[in-house]
Amino acid sequence: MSRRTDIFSGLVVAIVALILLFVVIPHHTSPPQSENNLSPAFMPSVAVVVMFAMASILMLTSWFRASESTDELHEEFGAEAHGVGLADLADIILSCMFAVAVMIGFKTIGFLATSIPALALMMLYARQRNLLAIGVVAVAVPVVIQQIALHAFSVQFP
Amino acid sequence: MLDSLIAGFGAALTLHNVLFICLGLVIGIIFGVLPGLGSVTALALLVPITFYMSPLAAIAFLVGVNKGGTSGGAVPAILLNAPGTPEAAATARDGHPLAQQGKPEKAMKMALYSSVFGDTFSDIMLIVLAAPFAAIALKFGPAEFTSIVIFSFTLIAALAAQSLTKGILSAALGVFLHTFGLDPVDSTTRMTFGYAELFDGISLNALAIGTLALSSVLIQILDARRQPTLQKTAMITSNYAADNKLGAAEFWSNWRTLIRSACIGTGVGMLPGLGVSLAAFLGYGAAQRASKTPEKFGTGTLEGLAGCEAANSAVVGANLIPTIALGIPGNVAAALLIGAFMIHGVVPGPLMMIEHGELVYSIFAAMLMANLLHLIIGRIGIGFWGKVLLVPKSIILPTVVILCIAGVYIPTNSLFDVGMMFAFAALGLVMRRAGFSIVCLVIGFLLGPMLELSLRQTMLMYKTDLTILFTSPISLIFQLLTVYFLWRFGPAQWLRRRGGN
Repeated sequence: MSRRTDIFSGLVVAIVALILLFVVIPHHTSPPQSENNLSPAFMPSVAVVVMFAMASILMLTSWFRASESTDELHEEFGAEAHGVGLADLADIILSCMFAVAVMIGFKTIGFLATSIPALALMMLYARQRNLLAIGVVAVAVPVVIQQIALHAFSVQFP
Repeated sequence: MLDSLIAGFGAALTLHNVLFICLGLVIGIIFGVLPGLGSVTALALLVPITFYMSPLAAIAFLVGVNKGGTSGGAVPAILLNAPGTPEAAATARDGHPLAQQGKPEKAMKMALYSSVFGDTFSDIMLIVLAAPFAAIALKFGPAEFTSIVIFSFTLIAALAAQSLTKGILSAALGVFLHTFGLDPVDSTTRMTFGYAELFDGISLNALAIGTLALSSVLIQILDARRQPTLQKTAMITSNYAADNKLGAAEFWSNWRTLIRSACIGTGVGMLPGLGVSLAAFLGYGAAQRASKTPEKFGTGTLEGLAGCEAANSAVVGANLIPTIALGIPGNVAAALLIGAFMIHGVVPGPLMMIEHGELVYSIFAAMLMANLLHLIIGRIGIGFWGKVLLVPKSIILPTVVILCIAGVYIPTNSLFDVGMMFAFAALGLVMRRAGFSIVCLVIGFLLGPMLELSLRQTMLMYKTDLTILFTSPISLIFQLLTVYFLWRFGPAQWLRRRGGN
């Protein structure tokens, strides 16, 4: 894991934890109903304090780490955990824009009208070049899912 | 116990349940076969759908998915040398050389039979051990549970997350996310930000599907653009040798390896945080050390294949022992099963055997039935599973994205939850890239309520005097274990690495 990623992620988590601890939790948590009870803010505050402490330790240990880690691949994610670079930030922004577009699509034009082009675009992005396969899958999958949801679970998609 | 199990078979042995188990097995194997998906993605996607099933059918279905997914990973490992699941990496060492020798079917049969053996062994251990463990756990009070949950977090963070600091941080984030919604004691609001949808807290489905399934699929779609896959060209589909049969005598000649690996897998499964991959490699290593021909390992031995497959499948049943006895999941698959139990109003923990004993034994019976069905379905489908690999990832992965959306929307009819899922997918994406454990996040989220309740009960009972955590003998043992693991995987490891550098 890249040393810079660890320092940067530790810093971001520490800042977020401080905002949660001093702004979000006090302003968005009700006071206790009786004097004998613990404050409802107790558990979230404990969790955030632990997050802040761990983020600080992560920053410090990464700062004093002698060199870039040459550890074996990450056990949970393998090569996926290669650190966050500019390309990864661009990926995350792209994914967020896609998610926002899909959500707006669901609310305005509905599930089918959004899913079909979204699925086709994702297949194209993933380097699928067989247009017939793209067309069939992009139409069939959302239609089948919608029909299963309707007839098996009595759920109507937007 | 035997009477309860027979009664369990009576309840579980219906056409309806058998069909759901079969469906779960087929879906699980297909998800296991497809590289990059696996049983965790399948479970995360399918847990919400079980909302519409009876509790027994739901759990039996998910158990089928888990069993199928764990063994399905062996197929691409054998045919492509590309493990469908991390635990199948050990399978590839001997499975793929066997396939290269023209014996892919023999390798797949050995993997399947060993997997079913390991599964059945660990299910029997679960049936034997769950009730006594739960009886012991009934004697625990809030202080003991607090210590056990803290110990579990430490163990999972130390062993599953690679970095203790990042693991604890992820678990703390999970605990924090659980605190959204109504306070469990006062029923006052906590961080609902005016959204009525948040009164019940953050949806487990949105969190699990977003972080475990959707983020994994999105990352593969994004990576696919940069790294076109070469799988199809490497797949072994022809030149089968005539000797693809695997006789009973040949299979059982590895009985020592099978039992040894099943014991290893069961032991690993019983401890929170020790993953299936570890069991597979421990089983493989133990088989190699005990073998009369260790030099043949890696060249296509059935012994090596039996060693890893029996071990990784034995984890599936065993990780339900802490789940049922303590309410603490052995791994992320068990954590998702806890979510499924909760959907049906069943809270895993020591009281589960008392309050839902009939259901628990029916689930045990369904698990044993699932093993037999796994054997039948796996054997019939051997020629088919390899063909699933021919479907390009560029079609499978986008399809799974739409399934994720449907999986979150169907149980709640809520676009809010779909939005939350996308948000968690973005969080999962960042966490994967930066090496923060998602397993710890999900388990922190699931164990958060237990930690909060037991800690608050302890503080109320002992008037905020937390010395009880160190004076109760059981609690003290777990606190000492926690300190040991914190030291062993924290400062000691850091100092060792610095020394190495």
